[in-house]
Amino acid sequence: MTNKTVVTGVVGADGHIVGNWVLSRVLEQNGFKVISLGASVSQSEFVNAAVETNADAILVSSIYGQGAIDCQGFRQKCDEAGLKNILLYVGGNLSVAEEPDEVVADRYKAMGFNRVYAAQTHPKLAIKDLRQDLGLEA
Amino acid sequence: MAQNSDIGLKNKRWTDEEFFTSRKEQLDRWKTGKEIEDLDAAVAYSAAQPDSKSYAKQMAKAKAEDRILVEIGVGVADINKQIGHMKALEEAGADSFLIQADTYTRRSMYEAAEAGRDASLEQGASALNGFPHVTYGATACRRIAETIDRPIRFVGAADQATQLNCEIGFASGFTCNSAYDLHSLAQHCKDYPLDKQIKNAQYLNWLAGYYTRNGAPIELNLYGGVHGWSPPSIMSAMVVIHGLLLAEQGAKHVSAGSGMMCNVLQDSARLQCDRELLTEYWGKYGYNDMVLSSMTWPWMGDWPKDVFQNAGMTALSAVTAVLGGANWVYVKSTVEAGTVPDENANIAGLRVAKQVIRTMGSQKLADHKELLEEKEMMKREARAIIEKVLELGDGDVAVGMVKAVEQGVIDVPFSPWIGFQGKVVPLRDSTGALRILEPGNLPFDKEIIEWNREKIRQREIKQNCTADLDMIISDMTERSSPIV
Repeated sequence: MTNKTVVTGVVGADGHIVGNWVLSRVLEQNGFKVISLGASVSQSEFVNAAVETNADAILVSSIYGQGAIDCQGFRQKCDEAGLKNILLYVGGNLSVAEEPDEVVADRYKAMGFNRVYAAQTHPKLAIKDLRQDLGLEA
Repeated sequence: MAQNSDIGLKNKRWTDEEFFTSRKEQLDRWKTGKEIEDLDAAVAYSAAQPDSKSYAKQMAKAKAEDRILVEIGVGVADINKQIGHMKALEEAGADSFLIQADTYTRRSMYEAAEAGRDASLEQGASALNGFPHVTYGATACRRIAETIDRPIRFVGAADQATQLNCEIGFASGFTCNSAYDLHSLAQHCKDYPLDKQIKNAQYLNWLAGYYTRNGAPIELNLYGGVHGWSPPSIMSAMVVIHGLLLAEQGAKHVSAGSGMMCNVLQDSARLQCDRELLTEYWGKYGYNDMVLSSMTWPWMGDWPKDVFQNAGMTALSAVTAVLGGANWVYVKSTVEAGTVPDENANIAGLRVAKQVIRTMGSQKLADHKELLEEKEMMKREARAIIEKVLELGDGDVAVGMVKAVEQGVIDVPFSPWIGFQGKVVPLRDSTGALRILEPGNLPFDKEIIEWNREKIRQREIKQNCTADLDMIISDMTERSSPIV
């Protein structure tokens, strides 16, 4: 066990659950306590779950392309709820347009996300980053 | 519980009064509903369209000529771009179109759809992932059907958005629609109650029947897939149950969809299985004038980013359609993984499919020995579910389906919808066919369960591994990862 709690879910009106299902299972296998909110999760539901469980990170998935609209103001919402500096990750197909990954990543980083992952990133990569960001790596 | 809100659900044809009372409420849900208050005027508009725009008529023609229709989807926020894009595809040889609504419209979040449309028009690029037809309204949307000389199918509803979205779709001159069944809950929804969803589908089915009886035949498409890991027999059972529901409401033209699982033998068996079971059960319940066709959906799992790998997946779905004897095939662009496709990417996907279809000609897999074995097992599994549904509903499939889902008799893995037990776990066997590793509460006998397990065991032996999470992840990513 890592004694770390993370919240996962698919943001907005998005029902694409498969990747998030996999991510959540792999996080569990790696010793994280996972609060899995499933599909179509609002910002408030993410934030409330993180507050209630004293979570260390929120991992947001989005596949359907409209993520930039759904993630607007996410960091502010965390701040307002007292989740100062909570780790915010986002991953998936994050734009309706065909854009370089870096352009998309910069857009989400400007919104306050700490890490941004393109679609088809293996969960292990995100978990390695997460361990590092949480100070779990030696 | 999510499935049951106690609204007196029955599988019985609605009366005119029931329908028109409900219709009034539905049209009030967004301002453009007012435009289509006169249903008979909308039907007359649709009926007056040339045959070239009727899905049911073009399907009958294609079947008579032993031709496979190739359909492609377009959905952007700006109606002018929507039309321009479709026109380019028509000129490139598309036989029919699918217009996809954006997710906000699908979820009846019409204000968000309107804001997204306006933002899109302002910034000159689509901020929505589809076409927001409800915010435009039928009068504006008719310009699409009037410009494009091909049948148009519409997909763009889920849960509470079903009735208004479909009314506006049909009144716009679109002649085919999804049947909005349990597949659509399983695919898009989180917590909408199943009995309400069935009632919404009954409304749509009744509406399609009304158009059809009054000279404007409407084709209803049973979706038949959820994603790339949808066990075929469960999907097949759901198709048959919904086939009975829509027949009861008076719909007549039906296409049975099948989601491609990437094993040509299994996918071909699936197409045959659905055709045979639907025909059998319609006959058994006295629905004798149904018109059935079948279609294939492309791979509904993770797509490769590379355009050539992507084209390979499209070619495979065309192969499946030909060998399985489908009447139409829906194809994707060559940039499916990355973005909403532009005209060129869609035209490329269309050409890939058309090339495969014309090259393969009339080849079929109909009498292949292993296919027949696959089909018989699939029918046996599907029949076990269907019969249990009928038993639970005391002969009423609507009532039975709600109970069956509650009890896990119908269960779909990896669904966003929380009404499923989610105990079924699928896994591929050594040939890539999808098998059931964990049957949950599916009403399968020991022989069926062992048959599935044995197929998976053969893969374990061949690959020297054990059926576990890593194998499931490998199933999920192996088709989309780059070829190095």
